[in-house]
Amino acid sequence: MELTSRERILKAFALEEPDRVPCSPWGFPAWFDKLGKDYSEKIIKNTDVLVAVRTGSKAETWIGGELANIHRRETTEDGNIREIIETPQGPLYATIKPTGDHVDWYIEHFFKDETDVEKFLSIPYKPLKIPMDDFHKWDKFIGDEGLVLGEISNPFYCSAYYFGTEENLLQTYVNKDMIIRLLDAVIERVCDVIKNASKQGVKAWRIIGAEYASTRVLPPKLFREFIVKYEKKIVDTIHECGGIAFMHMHDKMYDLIDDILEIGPDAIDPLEAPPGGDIDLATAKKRMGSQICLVGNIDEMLILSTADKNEVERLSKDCIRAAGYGGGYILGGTASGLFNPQTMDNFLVMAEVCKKHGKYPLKL
Amino acid sequence: MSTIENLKDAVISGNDSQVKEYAEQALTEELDVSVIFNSLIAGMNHIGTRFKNNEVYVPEVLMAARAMHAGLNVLKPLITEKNMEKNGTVLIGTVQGDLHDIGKNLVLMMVEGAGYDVVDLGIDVPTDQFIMAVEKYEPKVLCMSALLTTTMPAMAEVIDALSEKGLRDKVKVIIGGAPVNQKYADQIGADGFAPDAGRAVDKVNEVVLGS
Repeated sequence: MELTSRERILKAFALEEPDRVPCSPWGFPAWFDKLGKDYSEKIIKNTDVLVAVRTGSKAETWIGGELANIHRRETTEDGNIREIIETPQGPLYATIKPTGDHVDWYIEHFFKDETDVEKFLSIPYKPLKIPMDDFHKWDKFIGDEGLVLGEISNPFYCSAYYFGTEENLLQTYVNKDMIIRLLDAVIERVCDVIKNASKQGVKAWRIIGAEYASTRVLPPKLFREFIVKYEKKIVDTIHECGGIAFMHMHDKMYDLIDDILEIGPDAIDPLEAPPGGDIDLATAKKRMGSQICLVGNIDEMLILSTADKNEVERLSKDCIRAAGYGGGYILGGTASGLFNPQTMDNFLVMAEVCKKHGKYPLKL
Repeated sequence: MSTIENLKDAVISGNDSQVKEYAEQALTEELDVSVIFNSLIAGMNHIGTRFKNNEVYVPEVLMAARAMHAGLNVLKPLITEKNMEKNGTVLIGTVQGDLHDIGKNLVLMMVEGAGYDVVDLGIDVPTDQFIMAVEKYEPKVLCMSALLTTTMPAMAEVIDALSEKGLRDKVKVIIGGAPVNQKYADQIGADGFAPDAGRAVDKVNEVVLGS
C-alpha cells in the first residue's frame, strides 16, 4: 500500500522500511516563493519534501521576552539597514546590506568584543511567547505531502551570528570562557522555545549551526565543548517533549561521528561528500545507520545544478545502494537553499528513481 | 634565541604584542628592515603550511595574520620598494552580489604570508571595479571568490571584461569558492582554480613563479 509522503518520512526517521526510499528536497518558506508556483507544486506533489519553519526569529529565540521594546531596524541614508538592540548597559548595533535575498547579510555585527556580550547578557530574560502562525500555516499547507519541522539553532550559531564567522572563530581561542558563558545562557532560551512550541504542535525539529565548529575550521575538541554538550541538551529536550530531532550539519564531519552518536539525533543531513564535506555514504551507514536516519548526500551546487539526467539517476541509485537497505535513509541533496531550475528538475529525477528502484525490499 | 627567531616564533604563536615588541627590538638592534620583514613572512608561511596540512585550524591562521600585521605596522614607516623583495602584487575580491568573505580573507592572509603584496578589494565587487583595480595596480594575479552558484557567472564577466580592455594577457586569474571547480575554471578561461586557501598559495606560486 502506498504511504503518504509524511508517513514515508516518519518511517525512515524511525529506522524502518517504508514503502520506498523517500526523496526529500529541503525547503523553507522563502525558498518556495523563489521557486514560483509551478515548481513548488511539482516538488510538493512528486517528492517527499521536508520544510523547516522557524518558530520565532533568531533575535526572538535568543533574547526572548518583549522583543518589540528592545529590538528594531531602521533604514540608513546609504540604503543599508541598521539593527539595534537596547540593553540595560547600552545599545548594540549591527548593519545589514540589503541584497533582495532571504538572508540577512551583515556588514557590521552586534558583537565586537566581550563588552558587547556582557551587554547582551544584561538583558533580563523571560521566555518568549512563541509566534506559531507561520508554522501552523505551512503544516496545514504541506499536510501529508511532506513533513514540516520547527527550525531551531544551537547556541554556537548565536555566537557566530552575532560576532560574525571570522571573529567568532578567533574568540573561541582568545576568550573561550566568554563564549561558554554566552552558550550557557542561550541554551536555556533555546530549550524554552522547544518546550513551548512542542506544546503547540511542533512534532519534529531541525537543529542548525553545528557546522560553525566543523573540523574544517576548529579542532575536534572544540566541537565537543561548543556543540556536543549543547546540542545533546537540545536533542534530549526534544525527546522529552515526544518529538523527533533532526540534526543539520554542513561541511566535514567524519572525525566527529562518535560525537554525533553521543548527541543522539534521530536523523542527520546533508552528509556532504568531498569536496564540500568528507562523508562516504556507505561508511556513514555502517557507523551511524543503526541509530540515526541518514538524509542526503547528492551535492546541489556542484552536481544537481549542472548534471544531466543520466548522471543524476546513476548517483541516486548509488546512494540507495549505499544507505537504503534496512530503511533509515532518505535520498536528498545538500540543503543549499538555492532554487536553480535544473536543480529542481534533477530532484524530480531523483524522486522517479526512488519510485522505480527504491521500493522495499530493495532489489538494486 | 635571536630576536629574529623570537619574532618568527611570536608570529607562529599569534602573539601580536610580542611581535610588536620583537619588531621594535630588531630595529633597535639595527637589523635590516628586509630581514625583519622576511622573518614575519616566514612565520606566516609556517602557519600557512601547517594549515594546509590540517595541523592547525582557522583561529591559528587568523591570530598569526593579526600578529604579522602588528609587526608590519612597526615596519611601515621604513618600508620602501627597495627594502624587500616581493613576489608581486595580487588582487583579491569576492564577486558582485556575494558577501561571503572568510575564504577570501584566509587566502589573503596565506598569500601575504607567501611574500606577495595583496590588495583586498573586499566583497560584492562590481566587474568595473575589478577592471579599474587591475589597471591601477598591475597585479600578477587576480583572485576571485564566489560562494553561490548564482554569483559565479560574475567571474566569467570579469574575464570577458579583461579581454575587452586588452588586459587579459597581463594578469593571471585564479578562482575559488564552494560551487567553483576546475571544470568551471576551464569553461570560463581562468588560469587556475584553488579548492582551499592552502592550495590557493600553491596556485599563485605556480602561475607567477612557475613552481
